[in-house]
Amino acid sequence: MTNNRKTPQTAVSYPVRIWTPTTIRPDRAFLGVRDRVLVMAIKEPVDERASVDSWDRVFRALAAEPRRQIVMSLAESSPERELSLPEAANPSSMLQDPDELMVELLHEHLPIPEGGDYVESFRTPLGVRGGPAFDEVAVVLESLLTCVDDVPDQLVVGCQRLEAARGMLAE
Amino acid sequence: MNPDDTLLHDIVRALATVECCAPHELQFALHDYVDTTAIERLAAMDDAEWSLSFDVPDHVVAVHSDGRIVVDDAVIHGESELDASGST
Repeated sequence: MTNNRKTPQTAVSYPVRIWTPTTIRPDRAFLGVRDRVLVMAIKEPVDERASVDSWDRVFRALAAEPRRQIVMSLAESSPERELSLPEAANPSSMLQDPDELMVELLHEHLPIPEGGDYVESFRTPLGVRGGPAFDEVAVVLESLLTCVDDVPDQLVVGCQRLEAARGMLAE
Repeated sequence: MNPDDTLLHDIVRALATVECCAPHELQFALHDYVDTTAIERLAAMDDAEWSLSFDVPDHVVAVHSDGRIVVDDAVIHGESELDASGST
């Protein structure tokens, strides 16, 4: 074995090819120089578009109050637990006509988080539980709760859960 | 209810009328056939004239900025407004 060069541990799993200096690219990791050529490891391909799309889907899923309520209700109970609808989307602080909310959930709201695998719904009776990607939406709202003191007042006042987290609500 | 959701409810009610069922008993979700956010945004446009047409199972729906909802060429919602305007 003539090559005793120490290479990064992670390089072992990468397919290694030989590149000339003109082929230095951001998606290559520099390993070293051997026989006057650069040895680069091809990094795992990073699909930046996919990451952007994921964030767009997450915020779209959270872009309506009933959908945020569903996510918070599941996060507060347990994502595996089946919650009844429309109750889980209808907090006591902003009670909406259950029949109207039911129509909105069926025809507008539920298909959006379901499409991202954030939640799964079931019928007769209508209910919801967390889906395989539930954590992706839950982490956004839970992050807001953990830094609630930094959230501008205009986003806190009127939002029952943020008000409670900031201790603005009477017991 | 968000005021801009009224149109969504009217469309669902119109389809339920045609299907002879309650709005929550429709066998499909509107969102699977039309972007419901687009409907909300169109409804929020006060002074714009627009028409939106889309297919759902077994029916063709056309929605107009004057409030008319037409299902399979029959005005299901907003007919009185149509009559009052004298349109044919």
